[in-house]
Amino acid sequence: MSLLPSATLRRPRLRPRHLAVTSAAALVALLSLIPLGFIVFVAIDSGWDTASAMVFRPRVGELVVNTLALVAVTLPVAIGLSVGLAWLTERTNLPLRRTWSWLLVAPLAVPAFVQSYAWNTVAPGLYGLFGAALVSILAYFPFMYLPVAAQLRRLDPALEETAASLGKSPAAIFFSVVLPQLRLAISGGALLIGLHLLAEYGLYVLMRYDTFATAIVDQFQSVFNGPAANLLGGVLVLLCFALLGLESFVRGDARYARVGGGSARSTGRGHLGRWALSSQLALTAVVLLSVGVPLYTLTRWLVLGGTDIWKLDSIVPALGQTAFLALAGAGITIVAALPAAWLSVRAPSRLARLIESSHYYVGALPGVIVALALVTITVRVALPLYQTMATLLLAYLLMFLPRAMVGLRASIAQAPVELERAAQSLGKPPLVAVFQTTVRLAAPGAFAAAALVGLGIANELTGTLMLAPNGVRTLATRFWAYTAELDFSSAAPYALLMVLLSLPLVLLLRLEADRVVK
Amino acid sequence: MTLLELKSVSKRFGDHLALDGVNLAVPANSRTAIVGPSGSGKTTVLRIIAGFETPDSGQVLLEGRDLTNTPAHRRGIGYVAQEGALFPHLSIAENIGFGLERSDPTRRVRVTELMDLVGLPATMRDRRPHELSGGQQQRVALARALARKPKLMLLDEPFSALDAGLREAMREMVGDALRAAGIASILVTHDRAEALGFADHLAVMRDGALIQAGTPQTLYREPADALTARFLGDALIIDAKMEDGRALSIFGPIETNAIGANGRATIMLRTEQIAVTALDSATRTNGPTGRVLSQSFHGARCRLVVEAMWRPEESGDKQSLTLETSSLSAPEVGAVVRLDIVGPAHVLTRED
Ligand SMILES: Nc1ncnc2c1ncn2[C@@H]1O[C@H](COP(=O)(O)OP(=O)(O)O)[C@@H](O)[C@H]1O
Ligand SMILES: [Mg+2]
Repeated sequence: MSLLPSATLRRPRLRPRHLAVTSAAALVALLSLIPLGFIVFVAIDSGWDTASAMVFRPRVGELVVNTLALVAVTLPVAIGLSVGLAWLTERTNLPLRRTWSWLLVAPLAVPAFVQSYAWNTVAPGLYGLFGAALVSILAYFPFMYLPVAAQLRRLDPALEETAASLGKSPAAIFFSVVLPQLRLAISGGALLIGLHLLAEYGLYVLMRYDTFATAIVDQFQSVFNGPAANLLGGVLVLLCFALLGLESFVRGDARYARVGGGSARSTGRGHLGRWALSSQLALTAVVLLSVGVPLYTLTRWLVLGGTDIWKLDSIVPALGQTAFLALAGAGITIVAALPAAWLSVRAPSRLARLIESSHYYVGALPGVIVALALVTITVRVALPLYQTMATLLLAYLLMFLPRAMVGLRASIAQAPVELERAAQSLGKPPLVAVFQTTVRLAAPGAFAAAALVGLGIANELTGTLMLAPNGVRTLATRFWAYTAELDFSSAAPYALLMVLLSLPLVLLLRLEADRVVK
Repeated sequence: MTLLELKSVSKRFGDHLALDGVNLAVPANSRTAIVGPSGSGKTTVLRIIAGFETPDSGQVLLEGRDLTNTPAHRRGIGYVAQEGALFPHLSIAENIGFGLERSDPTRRVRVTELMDLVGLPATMRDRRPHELSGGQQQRVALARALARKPKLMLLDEPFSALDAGLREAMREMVGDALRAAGIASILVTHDRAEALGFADHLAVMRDGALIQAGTPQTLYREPADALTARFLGDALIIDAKMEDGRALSIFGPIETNAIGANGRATIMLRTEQIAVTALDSATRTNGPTGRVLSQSFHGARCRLVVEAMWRPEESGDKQSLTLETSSLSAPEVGAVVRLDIVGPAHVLTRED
């Protein structure tokens, strides 16, 4: 009996397939470095004196404090909330738990700035850090709830039972067995939420909370193509790197694969007993706040606006253009993320890590930075591409690369490499083997990742405002234009459409979470 | 002294009756094996004892104390799952020390002792479970369960994922370790060789019911029914007529364990109770004889299909039997053989 399969004793050599995939991933990484390169270029271009004068000033300190405070308040609450909710729906005998678990994903159908617009309407006095954090949590917690719930369902119940037989109380088991195994889901979800907090613009404008993103857009709008916005972007990129580093530190080398086949039994559900009522109340509160408030507001504005606000000659084209951009953008983003996701799971190395980081960091840049970089580059280097669909789609690709990566990584990790090897040993050429095993197994997860990307694009605001070719007006930009004029009523149909358009995607995500577990 | 007692324990999953009034007594310091085909409810029994599952009715008593309302973590019963269920996020040493208090100053020493006890090299302390082979993982699982010195250790098919050679070595190691620690154990398996090799107390389950319990010898020699007889080993099951405790069958009159019985009966003989000897044409015998219909070689043993007859010229009674003999002296196909019966037959069923 050898202790380890002999393959792991040999140093893996860079096989041709790795080379091809690495090249493809590196190419995407280079693309994703465009915005960073652009900022570095601006920093050099404007010189040290200008740069330091613009970065080291109280205003920037204020923004750093604001952004960090937002992250520090939102993330712990979102983690606690998501784990608690996931536990209720997955591990207790809560009545209506399936319905609840659907409702808990529903907030993803409400874009963050629509969420904010809703809260503006029902609670005009709500703004500042508290308002910003509250609305952020309500808008983004499903990004954490989904992976945590899926992981909870996947846990091998034998582990918890064994821990009980070793004398651990249920609470001790939760902290020493369950929570460590949720680490990957929690850190991944926290990273996703954290990146949104750094990048979101509309939500914080409406909540009158200054973050880097809002400050950069302000700068950009007052001084077109000025260095101030770009240098602020540089600081934001540093914050994003800090977040990435933190996540990778927390994630460590946690391995989630079950040891052995695990037991086929599904995990037992705890009895809520006297907690049943308070659990239902807590869930009701979360759903009312995150879905009820936007629904109520929308209904109210739609009723107040009557038929006058349904201007079909502008609504229909906006709808079509949004759908097209979401589909096309999701497709190319998934294809672009695939090589790096594969590398990071199958052939982790320092290079792969670097490539992966560059895929992630780009999503943390506010849409306006990506847009600004592309505006400058197209204007200076490739004028024919300026304000074209191609540039807009490239911007989407860059912005939503992290979403695609997170989903793809997880789904590729689901497909055991042994199958690929088996296929190769059955005489399939390497690429065919990859397609027939990993790609097919990972396809559902990839589809879900594409849904996440499409959802993002359909609701993307800032980048679209900046880059859209003449005549392209999406639901989001129309909505924002009306909101800026305080015409909340006319904005309502667009908000409603964005919500409706997101529903199938949310549905898909949720079904996917179910499927992964079976 | 009885350590653990199950009193008419029943458990239903949906409309499937997984356990149907199971009674079982486990003596202190014993090694009990529960054996039965897949789906017979063995795991369910263990899970109920461990406290992972609650019975619908019946009682589980540990040292006379009712465990019904005691949660799993307060039962002090060790459990080793089929595939070990090692905590993937902990090292080997942390897995083994999991049940020990963190503040326990002897923790490190205990872990080392336990690793030694189950035959794990100390260099594996800091490995992760996925870096271990299946057998090593099971050793860790056992060491981890031993750490808390439970009164009773439950083992649910702990060797079934291992290959045959390793399985036997592991069984011995587990048996020795448990004996050294003075811990009573219940092993669940669908493998009769494993059960017979491990246990000093055996319980046979089928379809959610406990069919029979006792020493392995008793169950092997005197099984309760034909299915149990076949489950525990090769058996010849033959119709006979009882006359004052002797069975008249194709083997002629033979001794049985039913003293003084009369009437029709089904009797069982273990294959090894029948000695097969080739007859040369010169010798004649009064005892049962047979003719070899076919022969197959199995290494040390040789399997024969023999058409047995008792005074064929008188009764014409014949039956094909599968018998075994040492392959050194295996008779040829077509040879006439003498069949000597060693020991009494066991009467399975009887109509007076
Ligand atoms: N949690 C469960 N839910 C539904 N049916 C179950 C469950 N556990 C066991 N069963 C059923 O009960 C029967 C006995 O199962 P088990 O105790 O696992 O048998 P064994 O261990 O002897 O193979 C099987 O038919 C099995 O399908
Ligand atoms: Mg079983």
